[in-house]
Order: sequence, then C-alpha cells, then structure tokens
Amino acid sequence: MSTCNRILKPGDYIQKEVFVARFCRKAFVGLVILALLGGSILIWGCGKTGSSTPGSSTPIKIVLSAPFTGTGSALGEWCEKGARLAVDEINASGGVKGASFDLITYDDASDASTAATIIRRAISSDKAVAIFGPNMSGAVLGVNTLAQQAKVPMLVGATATSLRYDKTKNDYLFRIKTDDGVKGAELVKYVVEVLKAKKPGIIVGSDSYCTSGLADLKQDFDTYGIKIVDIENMKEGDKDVTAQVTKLKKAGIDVLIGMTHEPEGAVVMLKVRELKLTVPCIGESAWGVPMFTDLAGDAAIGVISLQVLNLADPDPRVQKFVDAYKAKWGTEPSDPANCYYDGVYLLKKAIEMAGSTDGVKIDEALKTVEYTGVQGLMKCDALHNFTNTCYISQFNGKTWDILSKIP
Amino acid sequence: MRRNLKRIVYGAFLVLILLLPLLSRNEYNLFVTDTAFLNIILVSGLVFLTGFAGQISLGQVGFSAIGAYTSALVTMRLGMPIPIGIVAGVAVSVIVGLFVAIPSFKLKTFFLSLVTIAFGEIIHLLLVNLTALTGGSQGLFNIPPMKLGDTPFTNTLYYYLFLVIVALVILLMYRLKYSHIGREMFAVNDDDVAAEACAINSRKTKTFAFGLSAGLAGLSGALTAHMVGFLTPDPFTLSNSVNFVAMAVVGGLRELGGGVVGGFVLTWLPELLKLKIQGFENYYLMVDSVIVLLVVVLLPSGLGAILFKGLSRLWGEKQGAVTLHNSKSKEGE
Amino acid sequence: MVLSNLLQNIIGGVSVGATYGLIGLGVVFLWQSIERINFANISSAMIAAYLFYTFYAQLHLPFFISLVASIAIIAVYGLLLRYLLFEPINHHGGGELEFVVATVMLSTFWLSAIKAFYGGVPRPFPPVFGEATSFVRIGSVSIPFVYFSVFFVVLVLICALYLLLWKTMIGKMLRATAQNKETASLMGINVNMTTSLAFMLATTIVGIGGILLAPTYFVSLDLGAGPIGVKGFASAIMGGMINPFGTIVGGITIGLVENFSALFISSVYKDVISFVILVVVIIWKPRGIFNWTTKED
Repeated sequence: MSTCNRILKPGDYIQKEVFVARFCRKAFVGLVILALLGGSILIWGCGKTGSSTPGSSTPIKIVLSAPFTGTGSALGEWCEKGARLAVDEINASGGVKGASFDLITYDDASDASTAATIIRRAISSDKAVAIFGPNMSGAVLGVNTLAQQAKVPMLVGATATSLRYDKTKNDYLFRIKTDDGVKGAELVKYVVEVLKAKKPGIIVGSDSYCTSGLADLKQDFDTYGIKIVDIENMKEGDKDVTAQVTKLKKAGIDVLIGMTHEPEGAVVMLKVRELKLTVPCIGESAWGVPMFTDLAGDAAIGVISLQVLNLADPDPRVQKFVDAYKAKWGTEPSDPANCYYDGVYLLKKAIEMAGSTDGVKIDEALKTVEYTGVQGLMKCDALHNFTNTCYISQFNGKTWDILSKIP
Repeated sequence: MRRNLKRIVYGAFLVLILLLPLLSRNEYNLFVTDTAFLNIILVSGLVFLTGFAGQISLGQVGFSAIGAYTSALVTMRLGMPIPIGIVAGVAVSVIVGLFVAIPSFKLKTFFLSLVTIAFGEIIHLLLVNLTALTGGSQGLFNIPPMKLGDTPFTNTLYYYLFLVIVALVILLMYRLKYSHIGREMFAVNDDDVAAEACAINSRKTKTFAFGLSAGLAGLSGALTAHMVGFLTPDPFTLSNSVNFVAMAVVGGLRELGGGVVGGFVLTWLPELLKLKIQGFENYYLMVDSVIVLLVVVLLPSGLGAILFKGLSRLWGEKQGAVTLHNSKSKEGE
Repeated sequence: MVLSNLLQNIIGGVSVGATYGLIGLGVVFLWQSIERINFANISSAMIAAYLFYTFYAQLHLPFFISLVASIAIIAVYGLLLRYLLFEPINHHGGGELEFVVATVMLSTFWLSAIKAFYGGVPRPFPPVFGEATSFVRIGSVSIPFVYFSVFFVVLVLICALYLLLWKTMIGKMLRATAQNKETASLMGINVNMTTSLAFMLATTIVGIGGILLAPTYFVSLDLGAGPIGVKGFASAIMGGMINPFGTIVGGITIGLVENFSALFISSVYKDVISFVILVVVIIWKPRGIFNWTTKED
C-alpha cells in the first residue's frame, strides 16, 4: 500500500495488530472456501466419460434410488439390502460375463424433485447402465421421462396404476412389483366375495400412492355395484385420527379398508382398537410390512393385508431368499427387498442376453427375457409389468398366515 | 497498478463464467449450476428483504410455489406462451408478497418469522389439497419447456439465460442499494421508529421489500417449473425455506453478492459431499449442516463479507465510508 | 354415543395439549433469559426420546437409569447450547437474526444426525406409560391408559416447577433476572449462573416433553420437525411468552381446538386451522390469550 497517500490517524498502529490477527483467521477460512471452489471446478473439468462393455473388467454401474426418508422411509433399507444381496451374490459367482456390478445408492427422500436430481446424476455423472427405483410412485411419475430420453432402462418397485405402459408409453420403464390395480382388485374381490361386506369404509392418505390407489378401489367397487359408505382422509405424519375413525364408526361400516402408508396405518389401528370399531380391517401392502406391525403392536392382530412377500410361503425360492437374506443381514426380509433382488438378477439375465451394456439393447432384451425368481415367473407383459404375485394374509400377532396366494 | 489487478481478476472471472459450460461435457454438473443460478435469484431477494430491510422470512418457498404453479397453469391450461406465464407468475407472487408485508408492520423478528412460517405451510397445504387446480400431491406434469424454435432448451442454453437474469438481478440490487430506497431500507432495519421520525414511511419500505423478494422468488419458481418440466408440492416445505435463509446468511446478508456466494456455495456443497463411499450417503446431509452451522456461528457476517473485504484489501481500496453493523446485537430489542 | 365421543376428544386433547405446553415452556424459559428464540427447541424433545429409546429398548438398561441418563444428557446439552452456540454468536457480532438462523440450522443438523444414526424409520416407543391397548373405563367410555399417565406426569412436573420457581431461592433468582437483568445483578444475583440454569431447564423440560410425546408420535423424525415445533411456539405465544402456566393452558387449548376442528370442520385442514389461530393470536393479542402482562409494560 502506498502510505504516502494515507493520512495516519492515532489509532492506526494498534488497529493494525488486531487487524492482522483477525485477517489471518478470516483469511484461513477464506482459503478453505476458495479451495473448495477450486476443487469443484476441477471436478467439473474432469467430467466422467465413457461407458463400459461387458467382458472387460470395468464394473457395470447401476444406480439405486431408494427412499430412506419421507413417506417411504420404511422401504429404503429393504430396497438397498435386497439389491445389494443380489449384487454381492452375482459378483461372488463371476459377475455378468466376468464384469462385476457396481451398485450406487442414493436417498430420494420419497419425493419427485430429489429423485429427478438423482436420476440426472445417475445418467450424466455416474453413467449408469440401468436405474433401480425410485420406489415411490409419485417420484417415478416425475422422472421416468428422463430415463426415456436418455435411453436408460428403469426398473421400479413403484406400483401405482398411473405407471402402466398404456398410460406412460415409456419403453424404458419396467415394474418389478405387483401393480396396485391388481392388488386392489384382489382386495375388493376378497372383501365382497369372502367377507361378504356391503358397506365398506375407507381411510386414505394424501400422497399420490394413496390417492391413485383410492381411485382404483372406487372403480373396483363400482364393478360390483357396491357403494362406499364413507371415505376419510388423513395426512402423512398425522398422529391423531380420532375424528376420522369416529365418523367411520358413525357411518356404520362393516369393513374398514386402509389405503395409507405404514405409520399412518399403525395410528389408525391403534385408534380403531381404542374406539372399539370391531369390523374386519384390511389394508393394502403397506399394512403388511414389519414397520406397520411394530408400530401398531397388538392392535395389528387380526388385520388382513395384501402382501407382496410372505415369509411363511413354502415355495423353495422364497425360503432360499429368506435364508440368504437372514444370513447376510441378520434380520428377516420384507417387501420390497424381494422385488429388487429379483430385479438385479433380471438385469443380469438381460445383459447376458443382449451381450452389451448399451441401453437400447438391454431394453430390447428386457422386453423378452424370462426369469423365475422369488416372485415366481417374471416376464414383461403388455403393461410392462414383470409380476402379478401377491398374497392375502392375516396377522396373528407374530407372523402372517397366508389365506390365499395369487395367482 | 492495483486497479489493473482488479480489472484482470474481474476479467478472468468473467471469461471463466462465460466459458464454463464449454469446459465439460457433464450435463449433470451443468444442471446443478443452472439450479444454483435459480437459487441465487431467490436468495438475492432474501438478502434484500432480510439483510437490507431486516425482515425475516421463513416462508419464501411459498412465493416460489405461487410463481411456479401460476406460470405452469397459465401456459398449460390457458395455452399462453412461456414469457407471459413467467410474467404472470412473478406478478401474482408480488401481489401476494404485498399482503404478507402487512404483519411486518407491527411484528418483530420471532413473531414475524412465525407468521411467515404459517404462510409457507398454508401455501403447501393448499397445493396438496386443491387437487383440481394444482394436481394435488401428484402435481402437474408435462409443463412446456422453453424452446428455441422447435427444440427445447438444453442445459447450456438455460445456463446462459439464467446468467443474464442473474446479472440483471445483481444490477437491480446495486442500483437499489445506493439509491434512496436502499438507504431507507437500512434505516428501517436499524430502527424503524427512528426511521419514521426521519419522515421515512417504514410501511412503504417494508411492503416494497416484501414485494421485491416475493417477485424474485416467484421468478425463480416459474423458471424452475419450465426447466424441470413437472411440479409437485414436495420441494415447497419449511425445510427448504430454511435452506434458503441459510444460503443468505452464509453468503452475507449485507453484501450485494451475498445471494451469489450463498446460492452457489450451498447448492454445490451437498453435491460435493456426495462422495462415493459406501454408506456415506447417510452422512452427507449431516456434514453439510455442520459446515453451514460453523459458518453461521463463526462468521455471522457471511462468507461473502469475508470474500469481498479480502478482495478489496487486495486491491488496496480504502475502506468504504459506510459500513453498517447490526446495532441490535447486544441489547436485544 | 355423542357424549362418549366428546369425552374421548376432550381427554385426548388435554393430554396431548399439555405436552405441547411443555414444549412451549422451553421457548418461554429461554426467551425470558436471553430474549432469543431457539428454533432448535423441539430437537431437544427428539433427542431425549431417541436417547431413552436407545438406553431402554436397545441397551436394555433399567427404566429408571435410562430415564435419568437421558434427562442428564439433555440438561448438559442445554449447557453446551449456551457455550457452543449462543456465546460464540454474541462474541462474533451476531444478533437475534443470526441466532434464529443458527438454531434453525441446528435443528436441521439434528434431524440429519438422527437420520444418519438411526435411519428414517419410526420406532415404537416401549410401553412405559401403559400398553397401547390397555384402557380405563369410565361408564361407557374407554380411554387409553396412556393419556392419563402422560397427563399425570405433566401435572407432577408443573407442581415441581411451581415449587422451584416460587418456593426456592434459586427460583426467585430466576424470576428476578427474568424481570430485569441489570437490577438483578446489582442485587448480587449471579446472572451467569441463572442464564445457564435457564438453558438447562429449557432443554430438560422439552426433553421430558419429548419422552411423553413419543408414545403418540413414535420415536421418529416427526418429533423434531414439522408442525409439532410450531405448536410449541403457539403454546408459548398463547401464554404471552411470560407465564409458564399460561403456556400450559395455551397448549391444552391448542390440543382441544385441534381435536374439535377435526371432528366438526375438516380433518384435512386441521393443521391450517392451528396455523390460522396462531397468526390471529399473534396479530390481535400478542400478550397472550388472557392478556398476561409482559415485562415491556
């Protein structure tokens, strides 16, 4: 600094001491920040390029977008553990034509915007060969066009009927878990034909999985000519449903159908027992998973649910999967771990059939490949669904007794 | 010589910014930067409202949502071209912002923040429940993207468009800061009773501040809607409003460039933290919030303040005559 | 049938509302002491609930030890809050605004920390307040036992607080510094100690509130985010930010209003109604619903 131009004031020298001390501390912080910025520019410049061909030792990248927080928080862990079990098994036994799977997992927070960022990252940055998930229907609605544009196959455990091929016309979107329309139809069939109910009441959540499930149920009841006596709404995160259950009881329903996520289901069942609403209670697949029974405790005894995985199924493939899962992770599996487990093996078979990791070729292979997995025979149907398996089961306090298995 | 240094640095910076999209083929990084620009627009409005005028708002995403949904609906249901949609989005946001200003006339920090939280939550609830209008929790899809002729904008084109808009916003802030409106704003910030005594209409000033910040938030929302192509109620929650306020504080509440620094750093920080270590995906958010917390506690004047002060010392500029401190720091109200 | 509904809603509303009041007390104590609002107030509730869950349900420690350990840790957390957050911010020149932003970020931090270590899955709270399916019969109405035990605990806590604040020397010191800090220190009261005490009291009470809320809210991230924090603030405001009993009464009022608006108006807009009431009270009656006198008078 040119001191000749500055007018020195009495406090100048003392201030300089303090100034230097403060400036050093702040300069350090500033340097850290600049380093971060510089680092990011470097990362920017070295954008990853290139895709891998199988047979070489470059790993095949697959990305899993799973909900670890948000309305789907019950499911994220199962998605990841199911997929990783399959990936580790495949890699241990030679991989896919010698190349191993590299599984990258992200939390999509059960919402479409976060999922969209993840899918973009998977496509452009990670250069994924295929994408598993999102698992939540609302998120898939928002992002499936991205996969379509990038020509990357997307295999999802999301089940809303709005994701059927005739609605999305997305050649790159496949579903590895039974569609809600199928489950809903079975549920209504059971309610009408077995329970012989005439005055059903429904309690429904507010997100897109719940609202589109409700629309399906309404349609199904229409085909039987039965009118739904009362429909009550609740929001994800609601902990008090006294008003809703009271109104359902007042409406004189003879069966309660639950179309909500797991914690809300537990809240409903606790209140149902408290208010002594003694009608059969039957829920969609969210009511058939451990989170629901854990949170509801004894209130869940007697609840019927449309499950996608039942641990007591004597089918050897199911038992083998359950044992392998228990051995690796120390707990029993739950839906949708089996779906993603199947999905990874399905992808392996498709890549082998296609002989390449090119998205277009894998897509073609997926449309015709057949694989028998935990969920039975899996083959892509006209609605781009790979399976229609489900169970109707009843909770006895410890496990779920299978009342019937579909198909 | 120092002045030349300043010109060189600024010039190099400008060149870097203009050439950035061409330096890499990674579309995702470009997309994140585009998002960063949109955040910068919103956060600049917040810096104006909270930093300059001293009004806290924890509901800015509400305005963003209004702008986004309005623009989407106008272009989808009424078939208007996109620029009209965006103007409509901004207009509606500004009008709502003028109304939200009303509680600020009487309420101070904490109580005002509660009212703004309530505002944000009410907007969110309306988005989820007015299904016929907003598509409810499923949201709106197939929002028309911006097009050049017949082809939709690429990430690169969005980059340049947003760059121009951000530059205009900064210019606007600069003109406002050094105008009488800016000075009125700082006066009201420091002590609105005293300001009134100096014949400054604090109500008008506060209303203007809210309106402007709401408009910028609405602009950001509308642009997002067209870039991303779909809208759901999910991102318009309290925690995102909080993130934006954090961006403003980290960037520097009293700095013109506060919005730029905060928006850029805090949009990129979570991305950089998404390291490929297995299992780390659970921890990156935690690390992110720790870093932000450290900056807020140790450097309440923001990174931008350090940056610009450091830069101006580098160039040997005399310290400006007006350095405004938060005079309310020690005595409480 | 209608009367039993009413009774159920009333008892449920009072029980849950009392816990909202406890959360509000955390806000009030801190406001009285440092004139700042801690937006991470509700995080203490979440942390305490998770701590108790860890000690009791995961580590299988005895009930009493789990409880005492959780509360002790939360009290220490209050102290840390003062010395690691409040004092540094003051020291570096931050004011009310910076404190608000810092505490808001702190609450985000706690949410992501809990999510990182426990996952985002809600856990059932161990039935220490009675089984979820055990009921008390009053005539034709059956009320879950949990409501009673929770309300009883709140009652005991309020009595303890009353004794502390009005019948002990320390309580007198706290009230004195709340009225006027300078004068209190002139009178020989150690303001430094009372400030630390206020911090610890705030986090401890909210922590206990969290443990009481956990049976209803499950041990989940819902305890640390979203509407519940705002309800705490609303209770504090209805108490005029000054009177602890007013805060509890305010909380109970909110609990009752919620239940009845869900019953008679709409269950979907229940939260909106709470927010609207909050805004109306702030704007029209900033001294609380019964015009508690504030110290600014």
